[in-house]
Amino acid sequence: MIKFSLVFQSLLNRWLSCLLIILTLAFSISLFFTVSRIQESVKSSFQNTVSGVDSVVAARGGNLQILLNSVFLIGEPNNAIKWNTYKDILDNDKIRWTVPISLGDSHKGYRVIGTNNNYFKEIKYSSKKNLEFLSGNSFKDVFDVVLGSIVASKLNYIVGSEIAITHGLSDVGEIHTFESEKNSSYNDHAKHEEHEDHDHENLGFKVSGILKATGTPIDNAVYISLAGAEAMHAGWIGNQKVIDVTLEKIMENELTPKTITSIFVSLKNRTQIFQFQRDILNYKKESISSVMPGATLSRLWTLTGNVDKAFKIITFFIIVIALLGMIAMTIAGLNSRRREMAILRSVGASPINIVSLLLVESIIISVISCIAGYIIMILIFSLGKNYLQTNYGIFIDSFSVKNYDLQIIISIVCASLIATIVPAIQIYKNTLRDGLSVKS
Amino acid sequence: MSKNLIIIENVKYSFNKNSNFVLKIKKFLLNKSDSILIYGDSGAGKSTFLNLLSGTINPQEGSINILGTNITKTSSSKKDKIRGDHFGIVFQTFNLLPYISVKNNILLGKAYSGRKQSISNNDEVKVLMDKLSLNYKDLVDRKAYELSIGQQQRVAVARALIGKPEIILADEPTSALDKKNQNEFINLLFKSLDDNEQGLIMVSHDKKLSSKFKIVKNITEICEINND
Repeated sequence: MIKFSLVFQSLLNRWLSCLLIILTLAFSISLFFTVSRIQESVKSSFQNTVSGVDSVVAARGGNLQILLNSVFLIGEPNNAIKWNTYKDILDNDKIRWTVPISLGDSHKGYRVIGTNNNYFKEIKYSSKKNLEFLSGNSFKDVFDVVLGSIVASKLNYIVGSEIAITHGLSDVGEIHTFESEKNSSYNDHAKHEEHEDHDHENLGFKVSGILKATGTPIDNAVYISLAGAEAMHAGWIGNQKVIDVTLEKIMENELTPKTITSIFVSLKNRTQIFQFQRDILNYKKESISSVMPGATLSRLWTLTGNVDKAFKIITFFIIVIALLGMIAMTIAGLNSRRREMAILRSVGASPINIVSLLLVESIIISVISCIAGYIIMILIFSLGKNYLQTNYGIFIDSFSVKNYDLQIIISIVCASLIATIVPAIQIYKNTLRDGLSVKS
Repeated sequence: MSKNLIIIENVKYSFNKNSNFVLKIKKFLLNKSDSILIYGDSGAGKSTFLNLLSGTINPQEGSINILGTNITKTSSSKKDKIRGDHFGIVFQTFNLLPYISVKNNILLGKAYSGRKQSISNNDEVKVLMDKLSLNYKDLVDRKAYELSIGQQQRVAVARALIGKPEIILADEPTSALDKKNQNEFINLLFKSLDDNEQGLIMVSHDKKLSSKFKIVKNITEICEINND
């Protein structure tokens, strides 16, 4: 008993240097945990989002950009394709279903997706789960809006809330500064006029439904019908308002969109994907291409794989450096503790006893560091999750205990024990040489 | 059991084969209830002598017999056990672990000894502190660094005495004390000894404190040192 309390009290006696070592170790361990986990989490969340879509058809461009933009809502939208092209593609007999996607607008920092009711019927997430409505239902009217779960909860919207859609993509931070009151955009109109984006405040959209949470970018978007998007853009070309229009005039117009951004395609038979791609490439009227989400994502992972590796190696070295710091601290402390060792020797402690005290010390330090590192990692996760979602639209899983956590912790404790061999040999030699004669 | 606690015969020790320093002891005896004061200048071999007795260094020749066991022939772990079970050791200064309480410092004296633990209960801390004029109530839970040097040396004696070891070694325990405290310390030390059982060896650089000791010897009478 007294021997164990000895170790604790000895550590407490040197609390400052111990605390610093524990902090360095804990931070490097949390870094290691976080890096490997985020990497895994991002992958699975990306993979979950594209379930069931065999091809994304869009204007010819970088495959990765098309995928990131139209599926994950990351980055600027690519070029539009003509509505007639969409109609032509619908004639392709290999197709089971399609979902048209029109991007480019936002609501209080959240991306607005113009689409049709097929979206809610056909899009699957996380290995073939259907989208479900938490309340309300899909579009029934031109100005109906469906909200992702995060949008609804963050902005406190319920079915029936009236909202205004912003033309163009706004900076998240700026938009969020006046998000507090859901009707404030009407009252604070004067403030908004200087803003480079333009509220279509004369066109009231109405929330018709709210989706259940999916843990994918689907939660982070606002859905309007293509007709609604078209109505909103009547009188607008690009970002410039060219003529004043009234709601009556809009409703008189034919609300068929002229362009859309991309088309999600599911094939009757997935083996026909290459023939379908050839059909798309051979389409003469417009230059379009077909992106296979799975293959493109795999390419993305091979691209980021090396970065992952580099990160892991760096964090590994940070842990090694922290362990070296621990050795340095222990060795630096040994000289001032020679007297302590001589006292222990005098009461019958063998050199092995003294070395084992040192080992228990490093076990205590490394276990505390691992626990602290784990807690820091959980904090990073719970704080960083929202940050990644709102700023980058990247969804990561909530924190969960993984099998390999324990393995990592055990190997770190073992590593610290191995690291203690150096000061242990030193102290063994010291105690043998000094015997009972204590040098002050 | 014989009355001999320590018998040293024909011991020869040098740091290593090539070292010039050679220490020889022809014969040294410590009997039960003996008290021996060994005085001498520094560098005369006092520390080496104590290290040989306590088994932390091993002579190249000769025998050191502790309570019937020749420790020059035993393993180092056996020597550590003999030291823990049968010795109580007091150093010159800084005898205590400063960051633990007085009580734990005293209990440390038996932490590595099965023998001491079996014959001593924790009440012995109070008995010893009373004998050594240490106020139990005030001091027992204080950290060692809060004590005066004189108090620390007496706590060190309590640690050496706990579990009634047969042999008490004291290495200049009074050198950090002033004259008045030196005498008081020696008086308390002798008062606390179990006169019939324990043997005391104290090493000091002067022989002013010799009045209480049964045997007083110059280190040169015991050890012969060649230092060419």
